[in-house]
Amino acid sequence: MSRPLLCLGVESTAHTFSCAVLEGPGRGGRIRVLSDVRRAYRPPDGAGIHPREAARHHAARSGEVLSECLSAAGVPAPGLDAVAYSAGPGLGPCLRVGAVVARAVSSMHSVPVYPVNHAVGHIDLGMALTGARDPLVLLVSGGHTMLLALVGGRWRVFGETLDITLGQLLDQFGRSLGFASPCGGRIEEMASRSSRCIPLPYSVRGNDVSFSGLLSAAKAAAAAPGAADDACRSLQETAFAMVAEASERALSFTGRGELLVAGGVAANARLSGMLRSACRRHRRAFLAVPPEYSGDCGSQIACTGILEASAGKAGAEVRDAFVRQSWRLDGVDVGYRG
Amino acid sequence: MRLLSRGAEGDVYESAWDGRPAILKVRRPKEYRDAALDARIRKQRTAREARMIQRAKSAGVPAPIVYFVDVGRSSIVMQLMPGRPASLFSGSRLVELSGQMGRAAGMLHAAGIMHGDLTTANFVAPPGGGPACAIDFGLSASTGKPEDHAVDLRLFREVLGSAHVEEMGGAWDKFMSEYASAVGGRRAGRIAGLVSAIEARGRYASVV
Ligand SMILES: Nc1ncnc2c1ncn2[C@@H]1O[C@H](COP(=O)(O)OP(=O)(O)O)[C@@H](O)[C@H]1O
Ligand SMILES: [Mg+2]
Repeated sequence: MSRPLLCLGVESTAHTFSCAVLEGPGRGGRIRVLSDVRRAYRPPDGAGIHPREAARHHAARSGEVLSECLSAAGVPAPGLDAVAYSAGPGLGPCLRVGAVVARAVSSMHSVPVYPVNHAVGHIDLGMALTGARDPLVLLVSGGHTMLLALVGGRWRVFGETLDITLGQLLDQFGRSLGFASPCGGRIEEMASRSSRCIPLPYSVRGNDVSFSGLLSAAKAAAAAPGAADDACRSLQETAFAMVAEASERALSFTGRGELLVAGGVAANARLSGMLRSACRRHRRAFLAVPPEYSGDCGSQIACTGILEASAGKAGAEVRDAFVRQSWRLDGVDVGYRG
Repeated sequence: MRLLSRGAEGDVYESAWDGRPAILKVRRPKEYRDAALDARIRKQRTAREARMIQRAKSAGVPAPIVYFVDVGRSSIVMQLMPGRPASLFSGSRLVELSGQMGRAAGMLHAAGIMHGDLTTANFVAPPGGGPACAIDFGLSASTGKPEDHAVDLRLFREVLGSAHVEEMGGAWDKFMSEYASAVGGRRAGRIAGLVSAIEARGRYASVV
Protein backbone atom coordinates (compact mmCIF):
# COMPACT_ATOMS: atom_id res chain seq x y z
CA MET A 1 0.00 0.00 0.00
CA SER A 2 1.07 3.59 -0.60
CA ARG A 3 1.83 5.99 2.22
CA PRO A 4 -0.88 6.71 4.80
CA LEU A 5 -3.31 9.53 3.97
CA LEU A 6 -3.91 12.69 5.94
CA CYS A 7 -7.59 13.52 6.21
CA LEU A 8 -9.34 16.49 7.79
CA GLY A 9 -12.78 15.68 9.24
CA VAL A 10 -15.41 18.35 9.92
CA GLU A 11 -18.31 17.53 12.22
CA SER A 12 -21.32 19.82 12.74
CA THR A 13 -24.53 17.76 12.89
CA ALA A 14 -25.91 19.12 16.17
CA HIS A 15 -24.36 20.57 19.36
CA THR A 16 -20.73 20.09 18.44
CA PHE A 17 -18.51 21.77 15.92
CA SER A 18 -15.28 19.86 15.58
CA CYS A 19 -12.31 19.45 13.26
CA ALA A 20 -9.81 16.62 13.39
CA VAL A 21 -6.86 15.35 11.39
CA LEU A 22 -6.36 11.61 11.16
CA GLU A 23 -3.58 9.64 9.50
CA GLY A 24 -3.98 6.20 8.02
CA PRO A 25 -4.26 3.46 7.14
CA GLY A 26 -0.80 2.57 8.39
CA ARG A 27 0.57 -0.88 9.05
CA GLY A 28 -2.24 -3.38 9.77
CA GLY A 29 -4.79 -0.73 8.76
CA ARG A 30 -4.01 1.42 11.79
CA ILE A 31 -5.57 4.86 11.89
CA ARG A 32 -4.09 7.55 14.16
CA VAL A 33 -5.75 10.66 15.54
CA LEU A 34 -3.29 13.57 15.15
CA SER A 35 -5.65 16.23 16.49
CA ASP A 36 -9.29 16.68 17.43
CA VAL A 37 -10.59 20.10 18.46
CA ARG A 38 -14.19 20.70 19.56
CA ARG A 39 -16.51 23.48 20.64
CA ALA A 40 -20.00 22.63 21.91
CA TYR A 41 -23.03 24.87 21.72
CA ARG A 42 -24.82 24.89 25.05
CA PRO A 43 -28.51 25.80 25.02
CA PRO A 44 -29.98 27.63 28.04
CA ASP A 45 -30.88 25.34 31.00
CA GLY A 46 -34.14 23.46 30.49
CA ALA A 47 -34.22 24.29 26.77
CA GLY A 48 -33.54 22.12 23.74
CA ILE A 49 -31.11 22.84 20.95
CA HIS A 50 -32.18 25.63 18.61
CA PRO A 51 -30.85 24.76 15.15
CA ARG A 52 -30.16 28.33 13.99
CA GLU A 53 -28.60 29.37 17.29
CA ALA A 54 -26.37 26.30 17.18
CA ALA A 55 -25.45 27.04 13.56
CA ARG A 56 -24.52 30.61 14.51
CA HIS A 57 -22.29 29.24 17.26
CA HIS A 58 -20.62 26.83 14.82
CA ALA A 59 -20.07 29.51 12.19
CA ALA A 60 -18.53 31.87 14.75
CA ARG A 61 -16.10 29.20 15.98
CA SER A 62 -15.31 27.38 12.75
CA GLY A 63 -12.23 29.46 11.87
CA GLU A 64 -10.48 29.07 15.20
CA VAL A 65 -11.36 25.37 15.48
CA LEU A 66 -9.97 24.67 12.02
CA SER A 67 -6.70 26.50 12.53
CA GLU A 68 -6.19 25.07 16.02
CA CYS A 69 -6.80 21.58 14.64
CA LEU A 70 -4.35 21.94 11.75
CA SER A 71 -1.61 23.43 13.90
CA ALA A 72 -2.08 20.80 16.66
CA ALA A 73 -1.67 18.11 14.00
CA GLY A 74 1.31 19.91 12.49
CA VAL A 75 -0.29 19.61 9.06
CA PRO A 76 -0.73 22.68 6.86
CA ALA A 77 -3.95 22.66 4.82
CA PRO A 78 -2.14 22.12 1.47
CA GLY A 79 -0.61 18.94 2.96
CA LEU A 80 -4.01 17.25 3.33
CA ASP A 81 -4.98 14.34 1.06
CA ALA A 82 -8.70 14.56 1.73
CA VAL A 83 -11.31 16.57 3.56
CA ALA A 84 -14.44 14.87 4.86
CA TYR A 85 -17.51 16.48 6.37
CA SER A 86 -20.61 15.27 8.09
CA ALA A 87 -23.33 15.54 5.44
CA GLY A 88 -26.17 14.10 7.52
CA PRO A 89 -28.34 13.03 9.18
CA GLY A 90 -28.60 16.11 11.36
CA LEU A 91 -29.89 19.63 11.68
CA GLY A 92 -29.85 21.44 8.34
CA PRO A 93 -28.45 24.81 9.47
CA CYS A 94 -25.70 23.12 11.51
CA LEU A 95 -24.76 20.69 8.76
CA ARG A 96 -24.42 23.51 6.26
CA VAL A 97 -21.73 25.21 8.36
CA GLY A 98 -19.55 22.11 8.18
CA ALA A 99 -20.19 21.66 4.47
CA VAL A 100 -19.15 25.27 3.79
CA VAL A 101 -15.89 24.84 5.71
CA ALA A 102 -15.11 21.58 3.90
CA ARG A 103 -15.86 23.02 0.46
CA ALA A 104 -13.68 26.03 1.20
CA VAL A 105 -10.70 23.89 2.22
CA SER A 106 -11.28 21.64 -0.77
CA SER A 107 -11.42 24.32 -3.42
CA MET A 108 -8.73 26.53 -1.91
CA HIS A 109 -6.17 23.75 -1.65
CA SER A 110 -7.42 21.34 -4.36
CA VAL A 111 -8.11 18.57 -1.86
CA PRO A 112 -10.82 15.99 -2.70
CA VAL A 113 -13.93 16.33 -0.57
CA TYR A 114 -15.95 13.42 0.91
CA PRO A 115 -19.51 13.76 2.24
CA VAL A 116 -19.77 11.34 5.17
CA ASN A 117 -22.78 9.83 6.91
CA HIS A 118 -22.46 10.86 10.55
CA ALA A 119 -23.70 7.52 11.91
CA VAL A 120 -21.37 5.52 9.68
CA GLY A 121 -18.59 7.74 11.05
CA HIS A 122 -19.41 6.71 14.62
CA ILE A 123 -19.17 3.06 13.61
CA ASP A 124 -15.98 3.42 11.55
CA LEU A 125 -14.13 5.29 14.30
CA GLY A 126 -15.41 2.81 16.88
CA MET A 127 -14.13 -0.11 14.83
CA ALA A 128 -10.79 1.58 14.20
CA LEU A 129 -10.21 2.37 17.88
CA THR A 130 -11.37 -0.98 19.30
CA GLY A 131 -10.14 -3.31 16.57
CA ALA A 132 -13.64 -4.74 16.05
CA ARG A 133 -13.85 -7.07 13.04
CA ASP A 134 -17.46 -8.02 12.35
CA PRO A 135 -19.47 -6.61 15.25
CA LEU A 136 -23.08 -6.15 16.10
CA VAL A 137 -23.10 -2.37 16.63
CA LEU A 138 -25.25 -0.63 19.19
CA LEU A 139 -25.40 3.01 18.15
CA VAL A 140 -26.79 5.12 20.96
CA SER A 141 -26.76 8.89 20.61
CA GLY A 142 -29.05 11.89 20.38
CA GLY A 143 -30.08 10.94 16.87
CA HIS A 144 -29.88 7.15 16.91
CA THR A 145 -30.83 4.07 18.87
CA MET A 146 -30.08 1.21 16.53
CA LEU A 147 -28.61 -2.26 16.40
CA LEU A 148 -26.69 -2.87 13.19
CA ALA A 149 -24.63 -5.53 11.51
CA LEU A 150 -22.88 -5.58 8.17
CA VAL A 151 -24.58 -7.74 5.53
CA GLY A 152 -23.71 -7.50 1.86
CA GLY A 153 -21.81 -4.20 1.99
CA ARG A 154 -24.40 -2.30 4.01
CA TRP A 155 -25.19 -1.76 7.66
CA ARG A 156 -28.52 -3.48 8.20
CA VAL A 157 -30.87 -2.59 11.00
CA PHE A 158 -31.50 -5.51 13.36
CA GLY A 159 -33.29 -3.47 15.97
CA GLU A 160 -34.12 0.15 16.70
CA THR A 161 -36.34 2.50 18.63
CA LEU A 162 -39.94 2.66 17.51
CA ASP A 163 -40.29 6.26 18.69
CA ILE A 164 -37.71 8.51 20.40
CA THR A 165 -34.02 7.72 20.81
CA LEU A 166 -32.26 6.94 24.07
CA GLY A 167 -30.53 10.33 23.90
CA GLN A 168 -33.85 12.09 23.41
CA LEU A 169 -35.36 10.16 26.30
CA LEU A 170 -32.59 11.31 28.65
CA ASP A 171 -32.65 14.88 27.35
CA GLN A 172 -36.40 15.33 27.40
CA PHE A 173 -36.61 13.86 30.88
CA GLY A 174 -33.66 15.93 32.10
CA ARG A 175 -35.05 19.14 30.65
CA SER A 176 -38.35 18.55 32.46
CA LEU A 177 -36.25 18.72 35.65
CA GLY A 178 -34.60 21.92 34.40
CA PHE A 179 -31.20 20.42 33.50
CA ALA A 180 -29.11 21.74 30.63
CA SER A 181 -28.87 19.36 27.69
CA PRO A 182 -27.15 17.02 27.08
CA CYS A 183 -28.57 15.75 30.38
CA GLY A 184 -27.13 12.22 30.55
CA GLY A 185 -24.28 13.10 32.92
CA ARG A 186 -26.52 14.93 35.38
CA ILE A 187 -29.08 12.10 35.38
CA GLU A 188 -26.35 9.54 35.98
CA GLU A 189 -25.06 11.57 38.93
CA MET A 190 -28.52 11.90 40.52
CA ALA A 191 -29.29 8.22 39.91
CA SER A 192 -26.19 7.26 41.88
CA ARG A 193 -27.78 8.80 44.99
CA SER A 194 -30.77 6.45 44.90
CA SER A 195 -31.12 2.69 45.27
CA ARG A 196 -34.80 2.41 44.41
CA CYS A 197 -36.37 1.25 41.19
CA ILE A 198 -39.93 2.50 40.78
CA PRO A 199 -41.93 0.28 38.39
CA LEU A 200 -42.04 2.06 35.01
CA PRO A 201 -43.20 0.85 31.57
CA TYR A 202 -40.64 -1.59 30.15
CA SER A 203 -41.25 -1.96 26.45
CA VAL A 204 -39.17 -4.38 24.39
CA ARG A 205 -40.67 -5.72 21.19
CA GLY A 206 -38.48 -8.25 19.48
CA ASN A 207 -35.15 -6.45 19.03
CA ASP A 208 -36.90 -3.09 19.12
CA VAL A 209 -37.61 -0.75 21.99
CA SER A 210 -40.08 2.01 22.63
CA PHE A 211 -39.43 4.82 25.09
CA SER A 212 -42.35 7.23 24.86
CA GLY A 213 -44.48 5.51 27.54
CA LEU A 214 -41.46 5.35 29.81
CA LEU A 215 -40.78 9.06 29.32
CA SER A 216 -44.25 10.19 30.43
CA ALA A 217 -44.31 7.80 33.39
CA ALA A 218 -40.84 8.89 34.53
CA LYS A 219 -41.77 12.58 34.29
CA ALA A 220 -44.86 11.90 36.40
CA ALA A 221 -42.79 9.99 38.97
CA ALA A 222 -40.25 12.81 39.18
CA ALA A 223 -42.96 15.36 39.92
CA ALA A 224 -43.54 14.02 43.46
CA PRO A 225 -41.60 16.02 46.07
CA GLY A 226 -38.14 14.61 46.79
CA ALA A 227 -38.55 11.92 44.13
CA ALA A 228 -36.10 13.24 41.53
CA ASP A 229 -33.17 10.97 42.47
CA ASP A 230 -35.38 7.87 42.50
CA ALA A 231 -36.97 8.84 39.20
CA CYS A 232 -33.52 9.31 37.61
CA ARG A 233 -32.37 5.92 38.80
CA SER A 234 -35.58 4.19 37.78
CA LEU A 235 -35.47 5.78 34.34
CA GLN A 236 -31.86 4.69 33.80
CA GLU A 237 -32.37 1.18 35.13
CA THR A 238 -35.46 0.64 32.99
CA ALA A 239 -34.26 2.24 29.76
CA PHE A 240 -30.76 0.75 29.85
CA ALA A 241 -32.06 -2.72 30.70
CA MET A 242 -34.38 -2.47 27.70
CA VAL A 243 -31.44 -1.58 25.46
CA ALA A 244 -29.30 -4.35 26.96
CA GLU A 245 -32.07 -6.88 26.41
CA ALA A 246 -32.62 -5.78 22.81
CA SER A 247 -28.85 -6.07 22.25
CA GLU A 248 -28.83 -9.53 23.75
CA ARG A 249 -31.69 -10.57 21.48
CA ALA A 250 -29.93 -9.20 18.42
CA LEU A 251 -26.67 -10.91 19.43
CA SER A 252 -28.42 -14.22 19.65
CA PHE A 253 -30.26 -13.59 16.39
CA THR A 254 -27.27 -12.44 14.32
CA GLY A 255 -24.70 -14.73 15.90
CA ARG A 256 -22.09 -11.95 15.81
CA GLY A 257 -19.12 -12.51 18.11
CA GLU A 258 -18.63 -8.90 19.24
CA LEU A 259 -20.83 -6.10 20.49
CA LEU A 260 -19.49 -2.62 19.76
CA VAL A 261 -21.14 0.33 21.51
CA ALA A 262 -20.78 3.70 19.82
CA GLY A 263 -22.41 7.12 20.11
CA GLY A 264 -22.58 9.72 22.87
CA VAL A 265 -24.65 7.65 25.31
CA ALA A 266 -21.97 4.92 25.15
CA ALA A 267 -20.02 7.00 27.66
CA ASN A 268 -22.55 6.13 30.39
CA ALA A 269 -20.91 3.72 32.81
CA ARG A 270 -24.11 2.05 33.96
CA LEU A 271 -25.18 1.30 30.40
CA SER A 272 -21.83 -0.15 29.43
CA GLY A 273 -21.78 -2.23 32.62
CA MET A 274 -25.10 -3.78 31.67
CA LEU A 275 -24.00 -4.46 28.11
CA ARG A 276 -20.79 -6.06 29.34
CA SER A 277 -22.84 -8.38 31.52
CA ALA A 278 -25.17 -9.26 28.63
CA CYS A 279 -22.13 -10.16 26.50
CA ARG A 280 -20.76 -12.37 29.23
CA ARG A 281 -23.92 -14.52 29.23
CA HIS A 282 -23.55 -15.08 25.50
CA ARG A 283 -19.74 -15.33 25.60
CA ARG A 284 -19.29 -12.47 23.15
CA ALA A 285 -16.62 -9.79 23.23
CA PHE A 286 -17.71 -6.41 24.53
CA LEU A 287 -16.08 -3.41 22.86
CA ALA A 288 -16.72 0.18 23.85
CA VAL A 289 -15.43 3.26 22.08
CA PRO A 290 -13.22 5.21 24.52
CA PRO A 291 -15.42 7.90 26.14
CA GLU A 292 -13.48 10.80 24.61
CA TYR A 293 -14.35 9.52 21.13
CA SER A 294 -17.87 8.20 21.70
CA GLY A 295 -19.55 11.57 21.31
CA ASP A 296 -19.71 13.66 18.14
CA CYS A 297 -16.26 14.61 16.90
CA GLY A 298 -14.29 15.40 13.75
CA SER A 299 -12.34 12.15 14.14
CA GLN A 300 -15.35 10.00 13.25
CA ILE A 301 -15.78 11.91 10.00
CA ALA A 302 -12.09 11.88 9.11
CA CYS A 303 -11.97 8.16 9.81
CA THR A 304 -14.64 7.36 7.24
CA GLY A 305 -12.99 9.79 4.84
CA ILE A 306 -9.73 7.86 5.13
CA LEU A 307 -11.45 4.52 4.57
CA GLU A 308 -13.23 5.79 1.46
CA ALA A 309 -10.25 7.58 -0.02
CA SER A 310 -7.85 4.71 0.61
CA ALA A 311 -10.31 2.27 -1.00
CA GLY A 312 -9.95 4.34 -4.14
CA LYS A 313 -13.25 6.20 -4.05
CA ALA A 314 -13.05 9.58 -5.78
CA GLY A 315 -14.05 12.71 -3.94
CA ALA A 316 -17.34 14.46 -4.69
CA GLU A 317 -17.61 17.38 -7.10
CA VAL A 318 -17.70 20.52 -5.00
CA ARG A 319 -21.19 21.31 -6.32
CA ASP A 320 -22.35 17.86 -5.10
CA ALA A 321 -20.94 18.39 -1.64
CA PHE A 322 -24.30 19.26 -0.09
CA VAL A 323 -26.10 18.11 3.05
CA ARG A 324 -28.84 15.50 3.56
CA GLN A 325 -30.77 16.08 6.76
CA SER A 326 -32.38 12.61 6.84
CA TRP A 327 -29.74 10.39 5.33
CA ARG A 328 -30.51 6.80 6.20
CA LEU A 329 -27.63 4.80 7.56
CA ASP A 330 -28.80 1.63 5.84
CA GLY A 331 -28.80 3.44 2.50
CA VAL A 332 -25.04 4.01 2.56
CA ASP A 333 -22.87 1.78 0.42
CA VAL A 334 -19.87 0.90 2.58
CA GLY A 335 -18.02 -0.94 -0.17
CA TYR A 336 -14.67 -0.20 1.52
CA ARG A 337 -15.56 -2.89 4.06
CA GLY A 338 -15.32 -5.51 1.29
CA MET B 1 -30.47 -32.21 30.23
CA ARG B 2 -29.19 -31.09 26.89
CA LEU B 3 -29.15 -27.34 26.23
CA LEU B 4 -30.88 -26.79 22.90
CA SER B 5 -30.56 -23.07 22.72
CA ARG B 6 -29.46 -20.10 24.76
CA GLY B 7 -31.75 -17.71 23.00
CA ALA B 8 -32.71 -14.13 23.36
CA GLU B 9 -34.23 -14.69 26.77
CA GLY B 10 -34.55 -18.28 27.72
CA ASP B 11 -32.33 -21.28 28.22
CA VAL B 12 -34.10 -24.04 26.30
CA TYR B 13 -33.40 -27.70 27.21
CA GLU B 14 -34.48 -30.96 25.63
CA SER B 15 -36.60 -32.81 28.13
CA ALA B 16 -39.53 -35.22 28.43
CA TRP B 17 -42.99 -35.01 29.92
CA ASP B 18 -44.92 -38.14 30.72
CA GLY B 19 -42.85 -40.06 28.20
CA ARG B 20 -43.34 -37.50 25.45
CA PRO B 21 -40.52 -35.42 23.96
CA ALA B 22 -40.66 -31.95 25.48
CA ILE B 23 -38.60 -28.82 25.98
CA LEU B 24 -37.99 -26.93 29.19
CA LYS B 25 -37.67 -23.17 28.80
CA VAL B 26 -36.24 -21.29 31.76
CA ARG B 27 -35.95 -17.53 32.00
CA ARG B 28 -32.91 -17.11 34.21
CA PRO B 29 -32.26 -13.91 36.14
CA LYS B 30 -30.35 -11.27 34.22
CA GLU B 31 -27.73 -9.95 36.57
CA TYR B 32 -27.61 -6.57 34.87
CA ARG B 33 -31.25 -5.82 35.60
CA ASP B 34 -32.41 -4.35 38.87
CA ALA B 35 -33.52 -7.42 40.85
CA ALA B 36 -37.12 -6.34 41.42
CA LEU B 37 -37.56 -5.27 37.81
CA ASP B 38 -36.00 -8.52 36.63
CA ALA B 39 -38.28 -10.72 38.75
CA ARG B 40 -41.33 -8.80 37.61
CA ILE B 41 -40.46 -9.21 33.93
CA ARG B 42 -39.59 -12.89 34.11
CA LYS B 43 -42.78 -13.84 35.97
CA GLN B 44 -44.97 -11.73 33.77
CA ARG B 45 -43.53 -13.12 30.55
CA THR B 46 -43.66 -16.73 31.71
CA ALA B 47 -47.30 -16.48 32.72
CA ARG B 48 -48.14 -14.63 29.53
CA GLU B 49 -46.30 -17.08 27.30
CA ALA B 50 -48.14 -20.08 28.74
CA ARG B 51 -51.52 -18.38 28.51
CA MET B 52 -51.06 -17.01 25.02
CA ILE B 53 -49.69 -20.21 23.47
CA GLN B 54 -52.93 -21.83 24.55
CA ARG B 55 -55.01 -19.01 23.11
CA ALA B 56 -53.08 -19.18 19.84
CA LYS B 57 -53.74 -22.91 19.64
CA SER B 58 -57.46 -22.40 20.17
CA ALA B 59 -57.41 -19.83 17.38
CA GLY B 60 -56.11 -22.58 15.09
CA VAL B 61 -52.48 -21.40 14.90
CA PRO B 62 -49.97 -24.27 14.98
CA ALA B 63 -48.24 -24.00 18.37
CA PRO B 64 -46.87 -26.39 21.03
CA ILE B 65 -48.98 -27.90 23.82
CA VAL B 66 -48.07 -26.44 27.20
CA TYR B 67 -47.54 -29.25 29.71
CA PHE B 68 -46.47 -27.44 32.85
CA VAL B 69 -45.82 -23.89 34.08
CA ASP B 70 -43.93 -22.73 37.17
CA VAL B 71 -44.21 -18.97 37.29
CA GLY B 72 -42.16 -18.73 40.50
CA ARG B 73 -39.19 -20.33 38.74
CA SER B 74 -40.16 -18.75 35.45
CA SER B 75 -40.08 -22.07 33.64
CA ILE B 76 -42.37 -23.77 31.15
CA VAL B 77 -42.44 -27.34 29.88
CA MET B 78 -44.00 -27.71 26.44
CA GLN B 79 -44.29 -30.05 23.51
CA LEU B 80 -41.11 -30.43 21.45
CA MET B 81 -41.90 -29.42 17.91
CA PRO B 82 -39.78 -31.28 15.35
CA GLY B 83 -37.69 -29.18 13.00
CA ARG B 84 -35.48 -26.12 13.01
CA PRO B 85 -36.11 -22.39 13.38
CA ALA B 86 -37.34 -20.88 10.10
CA SER B 87 -34.45 -18.40 10.30
CA LEU B 88 -32.10 -21.22 9.24
CA PHE B 89 -33.85 -21.74 5.91
CA SER B 90 -33.26 -19.85 2.68
CA GLY B 91 -34.38 -19.63 -0.92
CA SER B 92 -37.78 -20.91 -2.03
CA ARG B 93 -38.33 -22.84 1.20
CA LEU B 94 -38.02 -19.62 3.18
CA VAL B 95 -40.46 -17.88 0.84
CA GLU B 96 -42.93 -20.74 1.32
CA LEU B 97 -42.43 -20.58 5.09
CA SER B 98 -43.00 -16.80 4.97
CA GLY B 99 -46.45 -17.51 3.60
CA GLN B 100 -47.16 -19.80 6.55
CA MET B 101 -45.83 -17.24 8.98
CA GLY B 102 -48.02 -14.59 7.35
CA ARG B 103 -51.07 -16.81 7.70
CA ALA B 104 -50.22 -17.52 11.35
CA ALA B 105 -49.75 -13.79 12.03
CA GLY B 106 -53.09 -13.04 10.38
CA MET B 107 -54.88 -15.68 12.45
CA LEU B 108 -53.29 -14.38 15.66
CA HIS B 109 -54.29 -10.82 14.86
CA ALA B 110 -57.82 -11.84 13.90
CA ALA B 111 -58.04 -13.46 17.34
CA GLY B 112 -56.84 -10.25 19.01
CA ILE B 113 -53.31 -11.46 19.75
CA MET B 114 -50.13 -9.56 19.00
CA HIS B 115 -47.12 -11.89 18.99
CA GLY B 116 -44.62 -9.23 20.08
CA ASP B 117 -41.52 -10.98 18.71
CA LEU B 118 -42.53 -11.99 15.24
CA THR B 119 -39.21 -13.11 13.76
CA THR B 120 -38.17 -16.08 11.65
CA ALA B 121 -36.35 -17.45 14.73
CA ASN B 122 -39.67 -17.82 16.50
CA PHE B 123 -41.23 -20.34 14.14
CA VAL B 124 -40.17 -23.96 14.10
CA ALA B 125 -40.35 -25.47 10.63
CA PRO B 126 -40.75 -29.24 10.26
CA PRO B 127 -38.01 -30.89 8.17
CA GLY B 128 -40.20 -32.51 5.51
CA GLY B 129 -42.65 -29.63 4.94
CA GLY B 130 -45.87 -29.03 6.81
CA PRO B 131 -46.92 -25.94 8.70
CA ALA B 132 -44.45 -23.81 10.66
CA CYS B 133 -45.20 -23.72 14.36
CA ALA B 134 -45.29 -20.45 16.31
CA ILE B 135 -43.31 -20.25 19.57
CA ASP B 136 -41.94 -17.68 22.01
CA PHE B 137 -45.03 -15.78 23.14
CA GLY B 138 -43.38 -14.02 26.10
CA LEU B 139 -43.80 -10.57 24.57
CA SER B 140 -47.31 -11.14 23.24
CA ALA B 141 -50.33 -9.05 24.15
CA SER B 142 -54.08 -9.13 23.89
CA THR B 143 -54.87 -6.32 21.51
CA GLY B 144 -56.98 -5.61 18.49
CA LYS B 145 -55.38 -2.23 17.79
CA PRO B 146 -54.13 -1.88 14.20
CA GLU B 147 -51.06 0.03 15.47
CA ASP B 148 -50.03 -2.94 17.61
CA HIS B 149 -50.54 -5.40 14.80
CA ALA B 150 -48.43 -3.15 12.59
CA VAL B 151 -45.57 -3.45 15.10
CA ASP B 152 -45.56 -7.23 14.54
CA LEU B 153 -45.46 -6.85 10.77
CA ARG B 154 -42.81 -4.17 10.88
CA LEU B 155 -40.55 -6.40 12.92
CA PHE B 156 -41.00 -9.28 10.51
CA ARG B 157 -40.13 -6.98 7.63
CA GLU B 158 -37.09 -5.65 9.46
CA VAL B 159 -35.90 -9.23 9.93
CA LEU B 160 -36.36 -10.03 6.24
CA GLY B 161 -34.52 -6.84 5.26
CA SER B 162 -31.57 -7.59 7.51
CA ALA B 163 -31.19 -11.35 7.93
CA HIS B 164 -32.81 -12.55 4.71
CA VAL B 165 -31.87 -9.85 2.21
CA GLU B 166 -31.85 -12.24 -0.75
CA GLU B 167 -35.42 -13.43 -0.19
CA MET B 168 -36.76 -10.10 1.07
CA GLY B 169 -38.98 -9.21 -1.89
CA GLY B 170 -40.59 -12.57 -2.54
CA ALA B 171 -40.86 -13.50 1.12
CA TRP B 172 -42.58 -10.25 2.09
CA ASP B 173 -45.09 -10.49 -0.78
CA LYS B 174 -45.90 -14.06 0.18
CA PHE B 175 -46.18 -13.13 3.84
CA MET B 176 -48.55 -10.26 3.07
CA SER B 177 -50.76 -12.19 0.68
CA GLU B 178 -51.29 -14.96 3.23
CA TYR B 179 -51.75 -12.38 5.97
CA ALA B 180 -54.42 -10.69 3.85
CA SER B 181 -56.21 -13.96 3.28
CA ALA B 182 -56.52 -14.34 7.07
CA VAL B 183 -57.53 -10.79 8.03
CA GLY B 184 -59.08 -9.52 4.78
CA GLY B 185 -57.58 -7.33 2.08
CA ARG B 186 -58.78 -3.97 3.41
CA ARG B 187 -57.50 -4.59 6.91
CA ALA B 188 -54.15 -5.85 5.56
CA GLY B 189 -53.78 -2.71 3.44
CA ARG B 190 -54.44 -0.48 6.42
CA ILE B 191 -51.89 -2.30 8.59
CA ALA B 192 -49.29 -2.17 5.80
CA GLY B 193 -49.76 1.62 5.69
CA LEU B 194 -49.11 1.84 9.42
CA VAL B 195 -45.95 -0.25 9.00
CA SER B 196 -44.50 2.39 6.68
CA ALA B 197 -45.47 5.11 9.15
CA ILE B 198 -43.60 3.42 12.01
CA GLU B 199 -40.57 2.84 9.80
CA ALA B 200 -40.41 6.51 8.96
CA ARG B 201 -40.58 7.49 12.63
CA GLY B 202 -37.69 5.28 13.75
CA ARG B 203 -35.23 5.80 10.95
CA TYR B 204 -35.63 9.50 10.52
CA ALA B 205 -35.71 10.33 14.22
CA SER B 206 -34.46 13.89 14.24
CA VAL B 207 -31.36 14.90 16.11
CA VAL B 208 -33.05 17.41 18.41
N1 LIG C 1 -41.58 -26.04 21.56
C1 LIG C 1 -40.40 -26.07 20.94
N2 LIG C 1 -40.09 -27.08 20.12
C2 LIG C 1 -38.89 -27.13 19.50
N3 LIG C 1 -37.93 -26.20 19.63
C3 LIG C 1 -38.17 -25.17 20.44
C4 LIG C 1 -39.42 -25.04 21.12
N4 LIG C 1 -39.38 -23.91 21.85
C5 LIG C 1 -38.16 -23.37 21.63
N5 LIG C 1 -37.43 -24.10 20.77
C6 LIG C 1 -36.06 -23.82 20.30
O1 LIG C 1 -35.40 -22.96 21.20
C7 LIG C 1 -35.10 -21.71 20.60
C8 LIG C 1 -35.36 -20.58 21.60
O2 LIG C 1 -36.68 -20.64 22.07
P1 LIG C 1 -37.56 -19.35 22.30
O3 LIG C 1 -38.85 -19.76 22.92
O4 LIG C 1 -37.63 -18.59 21.03
O5 LIG C 1 -36.70 -18.60 23.40
P2 LIG C 1 -36.10 -17.13 23.45
O6 LIG C 1 -37.12 -16.33 24.16
O7 LIG C 1 -34.85 -17.27 24.22
O8 LIG C 1 -35.89 -16.66 22.05
C9 LIG C 1 -35.99 -21.64 19.38
O9 LIG C 1 -35.42 -20.86 18.36
C10 LIG C 1 -36.10 -23.09 18.98
O10 LIG C 1 -34.96 -23.48 18.23
MG1 LIG D 1 -37.07 -16.63 20.41
